[in-house]
Amino acid sequence: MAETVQREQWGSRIGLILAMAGNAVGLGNFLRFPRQAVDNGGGTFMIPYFIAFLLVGIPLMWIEWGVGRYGGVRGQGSTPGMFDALWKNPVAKYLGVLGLFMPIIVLIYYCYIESWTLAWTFFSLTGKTQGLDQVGMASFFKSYVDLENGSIHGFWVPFGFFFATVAVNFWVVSKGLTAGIEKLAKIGMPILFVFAAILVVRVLTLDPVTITHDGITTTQGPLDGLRFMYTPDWSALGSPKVWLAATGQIFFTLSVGMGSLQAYASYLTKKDDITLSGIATAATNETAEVVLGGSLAIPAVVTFFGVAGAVAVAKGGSFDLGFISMPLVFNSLPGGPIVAAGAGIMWFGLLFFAGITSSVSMATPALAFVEENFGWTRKKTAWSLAAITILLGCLHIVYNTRGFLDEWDYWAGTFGLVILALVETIIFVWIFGPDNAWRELHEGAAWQIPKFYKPIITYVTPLFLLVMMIWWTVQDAIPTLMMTGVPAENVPVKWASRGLMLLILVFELWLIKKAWAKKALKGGTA
Amino acid sequence: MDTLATAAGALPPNTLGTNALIFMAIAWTAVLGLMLWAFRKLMSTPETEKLPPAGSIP
Repeated sequence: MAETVQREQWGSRIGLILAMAGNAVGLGNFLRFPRQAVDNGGGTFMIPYFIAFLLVGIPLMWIEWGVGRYGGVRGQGSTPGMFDALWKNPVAKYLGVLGLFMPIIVLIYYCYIESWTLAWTFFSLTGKTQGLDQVGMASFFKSYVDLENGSIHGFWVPFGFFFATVAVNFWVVSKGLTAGIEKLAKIGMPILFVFAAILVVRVLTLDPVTITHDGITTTQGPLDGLRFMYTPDWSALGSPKVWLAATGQIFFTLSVGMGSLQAYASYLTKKDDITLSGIATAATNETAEVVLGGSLAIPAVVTFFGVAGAVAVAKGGSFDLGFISMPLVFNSLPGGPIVAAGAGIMWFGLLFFAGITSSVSMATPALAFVEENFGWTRKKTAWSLAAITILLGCLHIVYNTRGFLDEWDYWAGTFGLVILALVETIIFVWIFGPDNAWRELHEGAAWQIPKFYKPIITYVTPLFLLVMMIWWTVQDAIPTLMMTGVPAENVPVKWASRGLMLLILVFELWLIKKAWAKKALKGGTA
Repeated sequence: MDTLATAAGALPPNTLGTNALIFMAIAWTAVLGLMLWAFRKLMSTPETEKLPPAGSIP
């Protein structure tokens, strides 16, 4: 194999950064972050959050850009090939299966959740969420996501929106890197920021509202929501749970440990900067999360439901916050149905753009792997993957409330991320070598990373990841594996869900074996 | 969240309060400052010249 292989490239630096930021900015920025912040000590949460950002988030961002570009210039657009290029060991390519497995698994259920945002944009437009009280709004949402208990939307409605979401995603992906993904980022990201900024201004300029909750009458406004979110609870700072929650949030929000950042970075050349671009991507995501995401849902919900109501909503989960409470807030806005519809379209529209710019990135590793190793065209690969997404996604729609989706979300979308991050850090920093890694990061660099980051990347980041993995294994992974507290009727569905994941993993390992056997036949590296 | 609820009740309605203001100002300044610094620096660095489309192996 030649040392450098020319592949498709990003059209412009701004397009690349918007696509990378679009990959990172997702539903979690607007739904998960505010909930995590209020659940974990408000302002105090921001201290471990920023420390994790500096010690884990930014180093992993550089590592993933570095791994991706190193593989990309050698013709490898997915982690099996990247790891194989970095570590000349037969095991390396099989470890890379994580970077194929996780994005595919997450993509399938993420498209389903993304389809809710498309559906709610439509419902906002057609006024279907207007005139509903809290109970009505909850039923409206629950019946959409729980087909088994009879849907007030019509059985095929969730399927219809899911098929439409998958079609849009893979239409974008099938157009290619610059004409599809980069173009989507250039359109979608500004729309997302504009919608979010308009909503933030509207929310923060709301007049105070007087409500009665449990017999107590209180008056509160949006600034009370911000105070609720940013008032420090110092006792929380000593809690390991808060540190783990903050580190976990940094992981999810930056989309590290997934395999998709590496795939995007594989389309860079040796002359392209990755140090400053990595920082710009991470900072753009953090702005979307802290400044915009933190100023929307919580201040709005506190204004109309009070602090106690907001706590109850936060405990109900991110989706209750986004799909039940926010439409209720919009219905209460002064200005009537038109304002409610406009706010709903902007809120769910921004969630849809946040979702789609992330989901197209999840499709990229598998596309690159199949294209490069089996010679399929992009269109053929994209539409084949769309068919698989629809087929398996339907299982999520049908068995959502039985825990089918939760299994995939936990093992691939949560626990798996830490494993891949740890594996890639060990391969890139320790096996490839700290000096080589440092040199690789600075190829074509527009900015020199401060030298104190070298020991951080070499020792602190892997240690942080190791502690996190051990903690999660003890605290969550073992009880989840043993299905502690799972209702008996859901156990078979959960086992089926795990079996299917395992089948996909084995199939991908077989594909890697086949791809390398093919390369060996051609006289390449085996 | 009792402390937050208490804090929210201790001040007049729709008030941010000093502690929250400090935390928010630090958080916003940190992320916005980092983003603006990175983009300003990137924009002042010339972009690499793009090579011809993919397909050729040097």
